[in-house]
Order: sequence, then structure tokens, then C-alpha cells
Amino acid sequence: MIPADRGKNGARGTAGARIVGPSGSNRAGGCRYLPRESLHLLRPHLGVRVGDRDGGRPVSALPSGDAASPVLVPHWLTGADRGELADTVAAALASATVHPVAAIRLEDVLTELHVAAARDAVWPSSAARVRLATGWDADVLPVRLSAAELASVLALPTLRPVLRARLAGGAAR
Amino acid sequence: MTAPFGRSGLLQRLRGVRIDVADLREVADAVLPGLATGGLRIAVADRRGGAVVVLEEEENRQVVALADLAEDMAEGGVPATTEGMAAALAAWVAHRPVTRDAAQRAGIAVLDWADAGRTALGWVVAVPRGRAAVTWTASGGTDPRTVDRIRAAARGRAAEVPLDLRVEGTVALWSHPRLSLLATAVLGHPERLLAGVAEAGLEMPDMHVVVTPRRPVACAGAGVAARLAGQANEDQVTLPWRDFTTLPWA
Repeated sequence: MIPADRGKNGARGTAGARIVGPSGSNRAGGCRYLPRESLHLLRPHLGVRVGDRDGGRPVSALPSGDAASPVLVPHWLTGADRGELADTVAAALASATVHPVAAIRLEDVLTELHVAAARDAVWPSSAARVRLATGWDADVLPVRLSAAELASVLALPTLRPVLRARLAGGAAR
Repeated sequence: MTAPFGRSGLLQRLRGVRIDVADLREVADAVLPGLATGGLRIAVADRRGGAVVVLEEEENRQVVALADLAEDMAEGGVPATTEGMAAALAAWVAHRPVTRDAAQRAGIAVLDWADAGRTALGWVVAVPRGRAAVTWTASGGTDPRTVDRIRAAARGRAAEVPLDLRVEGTVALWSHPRLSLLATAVLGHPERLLAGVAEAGLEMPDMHVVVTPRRPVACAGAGVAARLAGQANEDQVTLPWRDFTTLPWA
């Protein structure tokens, strides 16, 4: 077993990584009761999966559930939604017209789009239960964004109204 | 022994599916003799408290009441049909304890939960057997030098386990195509881990690894790993890659 010598919550002082539990274990997250997760459920539609994009984007300090971390709200998006969101954000970043602070948030949005797919590959059961309950297609995944990240996306003038409405919750089920 | 019958869903439990012991006895009498191989002997015997199944293989001997098996199968959602019970019995036999000799011949070092509370990881020796990988537990009285030899061989074998590497942005995901428990074999050989990540075109000077045993292994920079693990809905352990080789044996 990992020695339980890492202090309360097992914090190891690694850059941005919060290790919780007496011996390096991060306990599973809290309530996954569907209605509690569906405040911002967005109507998915058919489409393609988001592809691999450039792999070396920097990311800012990221939330991991402690009190100082922002709450990440799931937005259920199809592969087409995620691809469109990634393209829109990447184009905005490439245009160099985005405020530097917003650019950091947008980089984090791009990261989250990949992390969402990775999360589903490692722990598929939670999203699968939601898809089963809702009848959504297999490519619908929760993309978890902080309020700041979401605001940065919604501030993009190039965001299509349909996707904007989905992200803003206007088209929620 | 891991749970060979899985866990039933809420719907199945609400339906109250039960396995009749007499029916199971009938199926066991028909199926179990065909599952005996080489050194594995299987018998159904009548005892005062009811019928039992006896598995004997080299140093291992297991006696399980048929009634307990029936209860576990019902809990695991096994269909109360001849086919369902036959498949469940085959799965149960496939999950029987690993012998010392099998561990020596085919053991692979992987990570598993080291405690019932799933708070810590430790290295174990896993042996592929059909569609499952079963972990080896040294029986009491096994010579410590033999245990060390088996573990060393398993650690060496882990380097050769064929694994898939998938990249999602800045996250590298290692998995085994068939036996999910074997995915963590890569963590016993950091040079393989680092080479794979580098070949995938990823730069992770502060690489952290997120591990839930029997699930794909995720490697990412510290910040991305924290984002991934922070929203996980299952127990997991996140550590810098260097820390895995020094984890003790469970």
C-alpha cells in the first residue's frame, strides 16, 4: 500500500494536482443523481466526433474539486457540437484578437474537450447511464466548464447562435 | 477471488430474480465435470448442510456451498436459466485462485486496489485466464524467496504485455485490448511509459498518471490530470509517474 505519510488529504504539492485521501486516492465525486447533473443538459444532435487537435496547448491551473476551485458544470454535447466548439475556439485563438485572460480560458476549453473524451474512455459508466436514461446517442458527452470558461466562449462573436443557445442553456431539455 | 458474476443493476434487484439451489445442482452436475482440466479437479459433494462444490488444483483447495453460489449468482444478476447458470459456473471456475506454478509461469505485475476501501494501490501478480486476469495470492507457508522470484518474473513479463496507446489532446490513454486489469503493466516500466508518450508527440515534463484498476491508464501533465481526476465519478489514484515503481506489493 502507499504509505499514509502524505498528511491530511494526501496533498503532495504537485503543480496543480490535488491528491485526496489518506494514501493518494481521490475518492469518487459526490452525487451523480441525474437530475442534479442536468441543470444545463443540452439537446444533442447527430454529428461527428471531435478529432485530435494540436497536443501541446498550455493550460492554466485547473479545478479539482477543492473549495478554491470553480465549479465545473456539465454541458452535454454531441460530437458535432464539440467539433464545432473546438473549431470556433481555435479560430478565435488563432486570430489573436482575444484578450489574453480570455485566451487562457479558451485554451482550457480546448483542453476540456479532450479531457471529456478521455474521462469517458476511463470511466464510461456515468455518462452511459445518462445516455441510457435520456435516449441520447453514444457520442454525447458531458463537457464540464467553469463559469469563466463558459463566459469566454459565449463572448465569442463567431459562435453560432444554435451552439450558443445550447451552451447558455436556452435549448436545454 | 474477484466477483465472477458481476453486480446486478437496480432493476434486476427489484425484480427479485433468484437462483434455485436444486436447479443449480442439476446444472452443476452436468457442466462442472467438463470444466475440469489437467490438474484441476471439480466435484459436487453432499454434506450435512447441503451440497458443496469442491475445487482442487495443486496447492489450492476450495469448498463452496452451492447455496452460497446461488445467492451470489442472484446478486450478480445471473439469469435463472440453464444457459445462464452454466455460463456463471464456467465464469466462477475461471476466476478460481491462481496456483503458485501458474503465477511463476505466466504472472504479470499490475496494480490493483490494496485495501477494501479502495484508497491505495499495490502491485499484484495477475495471470491471464480466458477472458479474465486473476490475481495470485501466496498461500501461507510459501517460501518468501519463492514469492520474490514470482514477483520479479512478473515484473519482467509486464514489459512485454501488448498495450494500446490512444491520445486525446494532451492525455495519453493506455489500455489492454482484452484484459483490462493488465493496463497498469506499463507503470512498472517507466522507460516504456515515457517512450510511448514521447512517440505520441506529447511533452509532459510533470507527467502524472491517473489510475483506476481495471480501467485505462491516463497520463497527462499535472494540471490536466487534476482536471481529469477531479471530475471522476469513480475512485482513482493520481500520482507523479515516478511514484508508481516504488509502490509496494499488495
